[in-house]
Amino acid sequence: MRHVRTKQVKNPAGGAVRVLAMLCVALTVAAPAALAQGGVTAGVVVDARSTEPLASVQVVVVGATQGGVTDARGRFRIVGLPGDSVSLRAARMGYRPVVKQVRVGDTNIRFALVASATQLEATVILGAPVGVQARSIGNVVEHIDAADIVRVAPVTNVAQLLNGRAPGVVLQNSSGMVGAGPRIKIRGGASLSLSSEPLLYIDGVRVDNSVGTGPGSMVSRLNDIDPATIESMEIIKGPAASTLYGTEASNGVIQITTKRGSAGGGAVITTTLRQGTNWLMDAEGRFPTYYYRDPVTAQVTSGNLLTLERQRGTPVLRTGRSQEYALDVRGGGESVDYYAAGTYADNTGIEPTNGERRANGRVNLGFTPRDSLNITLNQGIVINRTRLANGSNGSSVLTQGLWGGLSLLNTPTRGFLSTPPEAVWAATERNLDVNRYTGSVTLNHKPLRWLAQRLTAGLDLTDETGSVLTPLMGPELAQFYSPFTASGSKTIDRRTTFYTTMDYSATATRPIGNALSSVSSIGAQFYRKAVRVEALSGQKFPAAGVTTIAGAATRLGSDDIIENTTIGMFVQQQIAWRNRFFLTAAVRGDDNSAFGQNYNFVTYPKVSASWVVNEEPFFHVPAVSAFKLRAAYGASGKQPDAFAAVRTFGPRTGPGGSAAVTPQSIGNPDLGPERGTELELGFDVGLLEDRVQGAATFYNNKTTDAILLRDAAPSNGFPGAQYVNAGQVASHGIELMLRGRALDTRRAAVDLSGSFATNNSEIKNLGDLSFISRREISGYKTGYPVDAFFLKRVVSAQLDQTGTAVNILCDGGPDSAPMSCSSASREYAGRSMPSRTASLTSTITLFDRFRLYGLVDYQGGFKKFNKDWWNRCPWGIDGNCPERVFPNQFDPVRIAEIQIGDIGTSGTALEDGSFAKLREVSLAYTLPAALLERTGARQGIISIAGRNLHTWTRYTGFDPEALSPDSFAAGRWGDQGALPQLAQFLVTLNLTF
Amino acid sequence: MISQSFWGSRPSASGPYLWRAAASMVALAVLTACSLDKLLTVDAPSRVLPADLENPANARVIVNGVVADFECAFGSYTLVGGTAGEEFHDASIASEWWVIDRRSYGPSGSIYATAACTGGSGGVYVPLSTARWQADNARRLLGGWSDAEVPGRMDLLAKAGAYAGYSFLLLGEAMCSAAADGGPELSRDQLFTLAEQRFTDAITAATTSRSDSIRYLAFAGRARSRLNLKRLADAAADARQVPPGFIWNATFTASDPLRENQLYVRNIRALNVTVDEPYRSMSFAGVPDPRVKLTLETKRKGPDQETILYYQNKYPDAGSSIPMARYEEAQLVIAEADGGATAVSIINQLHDKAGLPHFNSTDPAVIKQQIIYERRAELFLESQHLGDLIRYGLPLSPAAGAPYQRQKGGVYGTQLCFPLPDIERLNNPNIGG
Repeated sequence: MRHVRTKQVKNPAGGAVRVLAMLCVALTVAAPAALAQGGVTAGVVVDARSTEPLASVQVVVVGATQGGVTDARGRFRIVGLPGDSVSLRAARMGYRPVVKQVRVGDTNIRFALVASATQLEATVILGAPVGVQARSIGNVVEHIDAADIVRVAPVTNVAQLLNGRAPGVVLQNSSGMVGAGPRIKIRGGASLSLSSEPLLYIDGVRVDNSVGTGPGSMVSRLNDIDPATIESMEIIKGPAASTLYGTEASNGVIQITTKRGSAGGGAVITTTLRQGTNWLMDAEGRFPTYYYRDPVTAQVTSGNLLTLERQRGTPVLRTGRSQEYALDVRGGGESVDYYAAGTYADNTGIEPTNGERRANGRVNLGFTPRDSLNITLNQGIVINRTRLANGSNGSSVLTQGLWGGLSLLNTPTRGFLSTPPEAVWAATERNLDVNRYTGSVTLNHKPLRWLAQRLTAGLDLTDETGSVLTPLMGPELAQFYSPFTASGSKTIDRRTTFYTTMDYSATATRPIGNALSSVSSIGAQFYRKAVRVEALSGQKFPAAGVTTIAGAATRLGSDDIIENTTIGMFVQQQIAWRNRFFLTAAVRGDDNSAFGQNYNFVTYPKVSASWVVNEEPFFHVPAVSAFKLRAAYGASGKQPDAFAAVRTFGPRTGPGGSAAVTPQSIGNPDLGPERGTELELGFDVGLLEDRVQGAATFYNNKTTDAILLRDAAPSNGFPGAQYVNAGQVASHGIELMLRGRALDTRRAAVDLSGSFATNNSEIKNLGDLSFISRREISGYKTGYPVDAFFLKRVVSAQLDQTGTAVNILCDGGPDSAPMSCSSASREYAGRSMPSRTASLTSTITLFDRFRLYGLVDYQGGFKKFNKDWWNRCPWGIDGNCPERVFPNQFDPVRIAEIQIGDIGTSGTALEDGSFAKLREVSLAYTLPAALLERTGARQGIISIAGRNLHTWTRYTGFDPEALSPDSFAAGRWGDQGALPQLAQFLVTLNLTF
Repeated sequence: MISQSFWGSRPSASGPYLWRAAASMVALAVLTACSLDKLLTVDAPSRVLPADLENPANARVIVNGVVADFECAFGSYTLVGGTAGEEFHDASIASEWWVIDRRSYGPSGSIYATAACTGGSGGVYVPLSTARWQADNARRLLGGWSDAEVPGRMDLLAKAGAYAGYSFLLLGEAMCSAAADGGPELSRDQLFTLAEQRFTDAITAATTSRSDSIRYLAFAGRARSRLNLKRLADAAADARQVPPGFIWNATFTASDPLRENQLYVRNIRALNVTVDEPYRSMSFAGVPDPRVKLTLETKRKGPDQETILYYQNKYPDAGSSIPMARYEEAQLVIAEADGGATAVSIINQLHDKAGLPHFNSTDPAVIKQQIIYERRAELFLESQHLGDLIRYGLPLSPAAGAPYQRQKGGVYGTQLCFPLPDIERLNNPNIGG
């Protein structure tokens, strides 16, 4: 095996921080347990909103040393109490503490804690070994309480868990097909030519965050993760916050923490049973009515293909089924805790060839052999078998319908372009089999009172096998396909992705005098990503029933390995003044195997400040219970693609099967990472004794040395493009969040949460280029947003008596008069990414038993290319739209663009893509104890829920969210037969024993 | 004394820990510093670095690459040029091909301007430029090595020269202008001149190495270049060096998607093109011309559900070779240069071979028209016709302004040669980049 040195290391001294063996040092600290004598009190602590038991709540006697922590069932027991009564204080991060006077001997005490709005005391993990209090952080970190959301919302995958729950985080859905997943952009994403996906960590281990995988390029590996096993998610948004994550983190970071066991109290077993349906809401109403003028009789007919198929007894789309069965156990003893979970889910889509069966397993173990040492082992497996329907290319059922026409009604295709639905389904079988293991071991060690260190080692192994089978066709099927296609074929694409993480960090916390304290951290990380791809294909099966590549007449195969390695380290120093003012500075350095040979080690600085103003003596503002100002400035990066810096030739077959080579990649020895820098300012506020929380953030992000995939002059011999550090992108926006309890009575409570975010990006520099085209309709241009539409625009035209557009003139640009469209340049026509997002969540609790929950999310301020309409109207076989049949009834400019029929002049297909969706709605009922007694369950909740039940939009296509897979690679930003997001109805029974 | 209070007040029991930890850190730092270089090294088993490739031991592999890249480019250009010309008509639902078919392509069209030779995606400028660079790079490398280092060096040099010549020749016939090695914009005549120079070098090297086939190939190529330069006598002189029965093929195979015959693939396999109207009923004196044999598809239409499919029979499978140069082509060059009785005689030789009646005329204009007909029929789908349309200034069919296919919209344009692509103009500092 050849080894390619893609990087000359300039700073080998950087390895000096790799102190991995620290945790091998023998430790002998043990804390003797104290025993006490006296009275007893005991009880339970619950969440006031959900009435669910709360674990890990500290219940202590006010003014004394006695106390304890609640177990997994929320129970506590305190012994050794003097006197007849004591004052108990129950407190947990994220909740308002409650103090209650209780009688000694009372063992049925009940604390109901209300979630604290401001959460300044919440613990956040940001790359260092010890969590830090939210009060000390100078930037916003979004926290998603997954466990709480999953209890009430119809959430079956991680994408649904993220959607609408963090301002500035935008999910771009591709297809509504079961098994498909979205792409994620945080604060708009500032990369021009590289992926904009955030980094993904599970329990401290970097894991595969690939999107657009599998047959049809629509699957996201994010959705491998079972949302029911997630305790919380933290979203670290921009370079100001993600500095410690280094040279791959400028698109943000998503940290997932899975559930853990809890010490003491025995096992808690939870079972979940879920049944439901998937369907396309108002499918016939959304499918266009076709128009057709018979060329002989001039008679105009109209009809809806889906309606006609239903009336014929062959409805095109069906109702899919959703089912899920889950069981988890959590508990533990003094030195061991455990969490084990298993889930099996089976979903079918609205086409018979679409479905997904997924099994997840997770075992998390915690060991605390000494007070100073905790070891956690986290293991998760996923087995996923997805069957994907034909995607959004010209062969899908939807595109066959949209590209068809009424003139074909009496042909074997029944109005579909070339293939009726049953032939589409019979012709190909697309499978994606995924086996995935994610495991980590984390050692948290506190050798000294002021020193903590952490070592995390882990791996994420994903084995994806995608296959597409077209069997040898019989005559009935073969009539719709070319003889070559009908002869049968099979492809197998296997991708094995192996992520390795080694992460060491240490933190020293010491007071400096009476007012100051210091938190010093160092860390070093090693990440390696290795992707092995193998592709096999076979063509022409000899007989029906033969479906293996070995049985095909012609067979091809190829394989490759793509690796990328990062080594980095950081140093961070925080100084706190009276636990109210925090100043943090850090610097991180990285080296990456994809950097060019001439590129040096990269460093990223960071500085942030946080000031809890409300704790200052001078602060006396009525109704304001918490107020924190924060500011942060930081940098992080985004490394080039593997091998982008190296000039290479690729092997190929020469004449007569000889060995040959061909120019493959032109390379760039000066290539380095993109550099994102960000200034973030904001405040957090708590009002009305923390019943209401608000947060406001402004960010100003600048990407310099943005990596551009710049076309190379073909005359230099190397095809394709060259990665160069040339671009500069600026983006800014605000993020607002407000949540709180609008009503709080004994019988009813109303919790509301809303968020709003803006993002405005602008390309400041494209090196020596002023415009980079992405296919025919979008591109990058200095002074305009990233991924904007650029089109020739017809500004005037007339229609003659036959309805033909004449005297057509296009926009000549800012300094030119209207001109012939063939000479006109492409002008800015709108942005493809939302500039505004918002969400509104409401939870109504009645009688402590009913919870009515709803989520509406909104994306606005962007255009979408209605490619479905463009395909069927200007390009459709019959015209298929009234503009083609009755041109004189429409604006001549619109008719001119349709009749030109050039996608470069397709502005009439650009529509406002803004929408709001009733994303989630659910009604949960906590079953009464009398009913639960028969089952032996301690708690039970039954809920009915709906998803994607209504869309408010002016977009006239199928769905403003549907994007064809090539939208991302080629910048089309259109639907082109992509299936809309499906509506869902779910019934869930959750029992806790 | 802040530092002392900060670091100094450790419990005495922890002393051993710290010293051991510190020792471990130092040891690991040293170990890691030594291994960082190794940690950043990654495997690249499917990539070849120039330093590993460019040595005399790989000379044959390099020249194999020259041939492979040219053959891919040649097949692709024959397809795209045939669609832009009047040999093929598009039957697909891919709009990027419609602009080729209706002769309305601009400098950013994906099919001719930016597509590389990846099989089925078209490609003219990029594949031909890659093939040209490969051939010239091979010439440069071979020129720097000795005969002792590379057995058969002159033979390889001749082959690389011939393929460099053909790359320049096709760039000249296909493009309105082009560039080489990031240099200035070259006119068609400049490209033909560069082709001529490469062929001359190839002839010299092939003569030295006694590689007759390559020498004939280079003569045929130089004749075609000189025909384009309107140096008819020189062209005829070269063409006369091509012996009867000579043929040099671009080879293809069904077992590699990058080496498939794209004319077969797009016409017979994918049904995305049909043989265009002017070729559907070619005949001479009422006798169907067997050199353009077609098959009418009666069971289905093209993917656009409108276009009637005619299959060409010249390339019946993905491994069918396409002639690059042959005796009959050289004879037609002589006919065009000499005209008169020589031309009539050559035409009738071709007719005898095809089983067609004899042609007879003394009118130079009629003879020229017949030569044009013979080139259409004899060299059908051999990369020649688009160049002929430009060189002869033939009337376009359908005429410019005629409506394109009903469902696809637009009208036929007048563009024949492919404009210098924006990808070259914008990124070549010697042109406009």
